[in-house]
Amino acid sequence: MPLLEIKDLHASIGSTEILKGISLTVDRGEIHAIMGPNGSGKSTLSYVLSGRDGYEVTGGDILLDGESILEMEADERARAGMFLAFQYPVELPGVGGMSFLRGAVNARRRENGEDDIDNLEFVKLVRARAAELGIKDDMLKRAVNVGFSGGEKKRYEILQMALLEPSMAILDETDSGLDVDALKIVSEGVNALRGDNIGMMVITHYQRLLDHIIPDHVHILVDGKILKSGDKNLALEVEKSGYSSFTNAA
Amino acid sequence: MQPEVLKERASQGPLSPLREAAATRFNAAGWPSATVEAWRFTNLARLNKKVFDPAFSSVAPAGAILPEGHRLVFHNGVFQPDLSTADMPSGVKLDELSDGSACAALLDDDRLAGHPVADASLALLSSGMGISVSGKVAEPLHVVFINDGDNTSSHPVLALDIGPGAEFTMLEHHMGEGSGLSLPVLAVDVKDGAVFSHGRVQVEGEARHHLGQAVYTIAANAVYRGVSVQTGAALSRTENHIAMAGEDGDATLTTFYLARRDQAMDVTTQINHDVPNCTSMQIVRGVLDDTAKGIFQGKVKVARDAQKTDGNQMSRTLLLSRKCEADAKPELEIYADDVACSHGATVGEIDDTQLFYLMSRGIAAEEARQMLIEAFLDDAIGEIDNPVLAEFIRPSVSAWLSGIGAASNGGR
Repeated sequence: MPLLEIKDLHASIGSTEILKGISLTVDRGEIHAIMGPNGSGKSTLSYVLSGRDGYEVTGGDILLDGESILEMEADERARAGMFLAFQYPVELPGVGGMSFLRGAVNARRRENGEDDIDNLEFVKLVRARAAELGIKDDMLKRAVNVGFSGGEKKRYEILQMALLEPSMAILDETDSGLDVDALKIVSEGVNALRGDNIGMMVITHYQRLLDHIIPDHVHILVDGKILKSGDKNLALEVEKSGYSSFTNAA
Repeated sequence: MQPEVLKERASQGPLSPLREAAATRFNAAGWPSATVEAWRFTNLARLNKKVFDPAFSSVAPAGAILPEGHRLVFHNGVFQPDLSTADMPSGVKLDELSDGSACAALLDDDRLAGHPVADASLALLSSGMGISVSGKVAEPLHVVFINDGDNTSSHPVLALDIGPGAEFTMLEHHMGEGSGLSLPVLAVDVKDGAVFSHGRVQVEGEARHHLGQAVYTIAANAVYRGVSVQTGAALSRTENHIAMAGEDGDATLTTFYLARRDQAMDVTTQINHDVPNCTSMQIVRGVLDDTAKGIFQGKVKVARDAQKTDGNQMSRTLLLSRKCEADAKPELEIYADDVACSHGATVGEIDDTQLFYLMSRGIAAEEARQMLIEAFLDDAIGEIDNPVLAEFIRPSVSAWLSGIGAASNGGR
C-alpha cells in the first residue's frame, strides 16, 4: 500500500481554484521534490495536505496509509503521521519551547496508546537531537521561534520532525532564507531522517536544495497542475532552462 | 449612596474637615454619568438604582482562608484585629488613621478630591489604616479584603508612607461574595530612593461591584513595581494615578483583566511626569470571553519641564468570542520636547496561523487555543522582574484560565 496517495486533487481558496487536479503517489523510503514557480500552488498543496483551515477541497482525495484524511483536522493528521516543516515557522510568544515539544510528542504517544514520555528522558533526547542540528540549549529554553534567526527557525522545524518521527514529512521551502552553511546543516538533518519508514515531499523553488537532499522523483507544478515528472535530472533541467519552458509547453 | 448617611458619617470620627468636604462633593455630584469623559465607557447608572448599606462595624464569619505570613484583614472594609497578625514585619508601623497621624496627610490629595470613589469612601470610611515603612522589609505584608452580604458597601482606606531608602512589598487580596460594592482607596508616598513592590488581586464574586482608586507619588530615585489582576465582580474598575515627582524615578505597572459572561472590567491609569529623567512603563493584557466588556484608558502626561522622560504603555486585548467588546483609549499628552514616549493598543482574536502551527504538531484545537491564551498572559507575566509579584498573581490567572469553556454562555 502506498504511504500517500493524492488522487486528482482540486482545492480552492474562496472561489479561486488553486490546485487543478493533482495526482501523486509517495511510497515509504521515497523523496519526492515538488518544484514550481511562485504562485504555482506549492504552498497550497502543503497546507491542503496538512489540513489547514481556509482551503476547500472541491474534488479528488488524499489517502494516508490507504485511509482518506480529508475529513480529519490538522491535529488528527499530524497524529496519524503527517508532518509539515513550515516555510515561515510561526513565533509563539509565551509558549515555552520544551513544553511545546513535549506537548507535541505526548499528543502523538497518546494517540498510539503509549504513556507520556518521561521528562528526564525527554530532555536528554531533545538535547541530543538538538546538538546534531547545531541548536544551542539556550534556544530550547526560549519561547517557540521567538528571537530565532531564519536559519535557527528552519533547524527547529527539523528538530520537531526528528522528535515526532512522522511517516510522511512535507518540507515547504525549507531552503528559503538559509545561507550555504545553514542549508548544509538542515539538509544533513533531513538526510539523517531518511529511511524505509518515512516518505518525504520536498517543496522548493530552486534546485540548490536538491543538491543536498537528493530526490527520487521530481515533479514540476505549474498553475495547480503537475506538468512533468521525472528523476533528479529533471531538477537540473529546470535550473538550466527555467520554468518558462514548461509554462510555454502547457 | 444616601446623602444623609454620607453627611452624618463624615461628621463623626477622625479627619472630619477632609471627610465632610468629600461627603459634600459626592452628595452634590453623585455617581458620574457617561457624559463625564473619565467614565465614558464604564457606566455607573446601575449603581444609582441600588441603595447600598455602608459597613461601619463588621465581623468576618469564621472559616475564611487567609494567607500565611504577616497580614491585615478587613471585612467589608472594617479592620479585623483578630484575624490580622499581631506582629508586623520589622520596620512596618501601623496606625489607625486619626487626626494628626503622619499617613493621614496623604489623603489630602488633589487626585482623590472630587473622584467619586475616593469621595464616597473617605466620607463613609469603614476603616482607615496608615502604614509607615522604614528600612528594607524582607517579608511581604498581605492585606486581605473579605466582603460579603447583599447591598453592603465597603470603604477601606489605606495610606502608606514608604520612607526614604525603604523597601516594602504589599500584596492585596480582594475577595468575597454577595451583591455588595467595594470601594477601596489607597494613597502611597514612595519617598526618595525607596522601592515599593505591590501586588493586587481582585477575585470577588460576580454579583459584586468593585471600584478601586489608588494614587501614588514617586519621589527621586524611587521605584514602583505594580502588578494587578482582576477577574472578579460584575463591574470592576481599578484606577491608578501615578505622579513621578522626583528625578530618576521609575514606575512599572502590569495589569491583567480577565472577564467572561457579562462582566465589565475597566483598567484606568494616569501617569504624570512632572520632573525630568523618569521612566514609566504600563503593560496591560486583557482576555474577554462570552459577552464581556473590557476597557483600557491609559494616559501619560509629560509636563513641560519633564525632559528626558521615557514613558511607555502597551495594551493588548484578546477576544475569545465575537460578542465581547473592548474599548481602548491610550493617550499621550506631552508638553516637553525631549522625551521618548510610546503607546499602543491592540485588540484581536486568537491568531489562526499560531493555532494551525500547534495543530500541525498534533495538538488538538481546544488544547492549542488554551495554550495560546495562556501564552498571551504568560508572555507578560514573564516580563515581571519581581518573582514575588509574579507568583502572587499567577494562581488567579490560572484559576481564570481553567474556567474557559466551562461555564460560558456560548457565543463563540
